[in-house]
Amino acid sequence: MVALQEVLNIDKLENDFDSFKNKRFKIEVPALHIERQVELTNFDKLRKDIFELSKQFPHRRVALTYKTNGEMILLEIHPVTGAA
Amino acid sequence: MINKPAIIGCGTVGAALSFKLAESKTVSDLKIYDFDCVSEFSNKPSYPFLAEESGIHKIEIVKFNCRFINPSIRILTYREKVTKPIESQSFVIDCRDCKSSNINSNIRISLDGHMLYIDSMSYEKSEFDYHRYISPRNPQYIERATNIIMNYLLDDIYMKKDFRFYDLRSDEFHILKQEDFYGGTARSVKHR
Repeated sequence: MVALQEVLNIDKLENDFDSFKNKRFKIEVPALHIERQVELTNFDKLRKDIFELSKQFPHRRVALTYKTNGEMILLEIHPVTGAA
Repeated sequence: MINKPAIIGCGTVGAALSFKLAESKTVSDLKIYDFDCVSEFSNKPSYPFLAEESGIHKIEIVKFNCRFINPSIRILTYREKVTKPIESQSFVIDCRDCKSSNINSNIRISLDGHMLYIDSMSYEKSEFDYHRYISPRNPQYIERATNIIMNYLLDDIYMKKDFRFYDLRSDEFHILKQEDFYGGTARSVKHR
């Protein structure tokens, strides 16, 4: 088993975080069919949720993608398979 | 476009990309490396191999099909497990499942379900990584991934030295890491 060591592009998410205020937030892990609504209070809480969900993968790294439809932020977590 | 490609690993991505390169007639020479045979213990071997091909070395099947698609292409096959750099004349495309050992590849490609990763950054020594695929193989995603990789090569996108994620469910790709002029890593960017 390989322990999670890196959440790729979490720095970009942190930079964009301020613009997400007052928006609903949903985290999805498509590969595991997980969906979770999260409360957007502060970035540390969000980071903790992301790491918690990412630990369900045996992978060393995961990648984040996110998009907004105006009111909702959809953040997805993807495992990085095979040390690409 | 790349010159003299060498594909390391003839699993789903390596084999499908070899066929596409042969079909495109953009290269006259292609080197392929793999040590493995098509599984004899599965009724349905991984795409693009067939159950009738079980027990045959993958490179022989890939060579045969490439020559069938494009009789003028010159295919050189190497039945070996590559764990160290090969000679440097070729543009090396690492399609191995496990890429922990450095083979000085120009790009590294991984496909897992809808997730396609292409890394053209300078190799950084990493620890052993998890390399079992967790999402089922989907022929549509494989076809889409192969087209993306071909465009990536034709447009010389590997020169941008980045690590990108293509979400095959949509037309989006995301740059996860990017090498700056001095070889360090920089920002991540989303594109459509």
